[in-house]
Amino acid sequence: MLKQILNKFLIIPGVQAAIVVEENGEIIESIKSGIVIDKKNLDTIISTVMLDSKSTAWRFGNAPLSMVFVEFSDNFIILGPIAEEFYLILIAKNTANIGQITYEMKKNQGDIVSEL
Amino acid sequence: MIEQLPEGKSIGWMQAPPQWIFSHTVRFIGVVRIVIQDGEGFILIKKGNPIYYYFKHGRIELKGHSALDYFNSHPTIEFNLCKYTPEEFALAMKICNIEEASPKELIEPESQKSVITESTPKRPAPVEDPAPEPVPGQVQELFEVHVAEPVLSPMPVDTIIRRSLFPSNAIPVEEPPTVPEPVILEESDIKLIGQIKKLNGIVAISVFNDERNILLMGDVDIDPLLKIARSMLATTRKISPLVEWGSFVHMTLQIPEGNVIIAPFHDFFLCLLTTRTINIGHIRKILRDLQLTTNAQN
Repeated sequence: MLKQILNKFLIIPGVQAAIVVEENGEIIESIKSGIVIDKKNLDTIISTVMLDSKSTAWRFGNAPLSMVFVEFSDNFIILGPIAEEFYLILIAKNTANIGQITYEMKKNQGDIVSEL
Repeated sequence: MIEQLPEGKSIGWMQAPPQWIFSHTVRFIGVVRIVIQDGEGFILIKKGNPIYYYFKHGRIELKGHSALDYFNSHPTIEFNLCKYTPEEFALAMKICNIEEASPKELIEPESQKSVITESTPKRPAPVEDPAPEPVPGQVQELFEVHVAEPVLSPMPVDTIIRRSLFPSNAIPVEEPPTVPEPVILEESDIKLIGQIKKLNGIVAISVFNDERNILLMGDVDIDPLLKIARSMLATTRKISPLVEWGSFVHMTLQIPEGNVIIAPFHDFFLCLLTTRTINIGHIRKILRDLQLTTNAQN
């Protein structure tokens, strides 16, 4: 069921991966299309972005993290919390519409949480 | 005196160590208007050479080295670079009661490159290089070479200079002293950064590298912002080798209060502090365009 919800993100033009992870770095569910990325590297990227960003955000007077967005010239990665200790990560081509992605993230947040 | 000075063309307000002014104005002719708490002052500059220092707070007036010492006693100061036309500069010289020195004396003083001052109120003793030829008025005094007195401090001079530039980072005495390379930003870059700062929702913008903050526009405390920016930079450096997604464009960290964005800028990095309501798409486009332009220039 969670996979079906994540599949909605892959319909968005340019989106190549949708991943739900727990704060400890464990991947709960993931779905990919048109992207090849080494699993070990992916694990490292996810845990690095998630943990580093969370600790950086805390420097703003214990501020909670709302969203992290890392963009390279070809692809970008968006990470957002969906529930306590759970995060949704999307990898997309730089041609993808960020506004649409963040809108879908918010729209599907409740459905994802209900499946966790 | 400040009110009498010609207005000039403002390049923008910045916050940086006083030393930044001298290393970044090699092509600048004009006045640097300085505001410290309730007082204000200025440095008249011709192509990197300080011609006159002035500061006024209430009834207290500081001129020449007293004013410079006061500027240097602050790790960072807020200032506005205002370009002068030759006519405006001549008028400003007249207002400051300074006679024009010969171009060589003003443009290429032998000792200008090694003008270093201690940030403490201790009066440094003039030594080392011979002073340039005497120039009428205050100019001669301004071109003296100042180094820290060894008797007053056992620390190497370089260490003292670095500490005055980076007061928040305690540098161990045993660390080999190295003077940071002078960083030069083109006037066009400063202008561009000023334009970005003017965008709706931009609270502050900084140019930084691994060693220090180079330029700050905006009313924020630079040290905590720099720590966050460097922490974000460290994150991107960890993940960049793991992906084949091209060059790094930017990283945005969003918290309920706003966004912190870092992006490469020439050999440096930009750090933007924005409100939450800012149009991220717009900023993203600017940063991508900026990188394309920078890559094309390189």
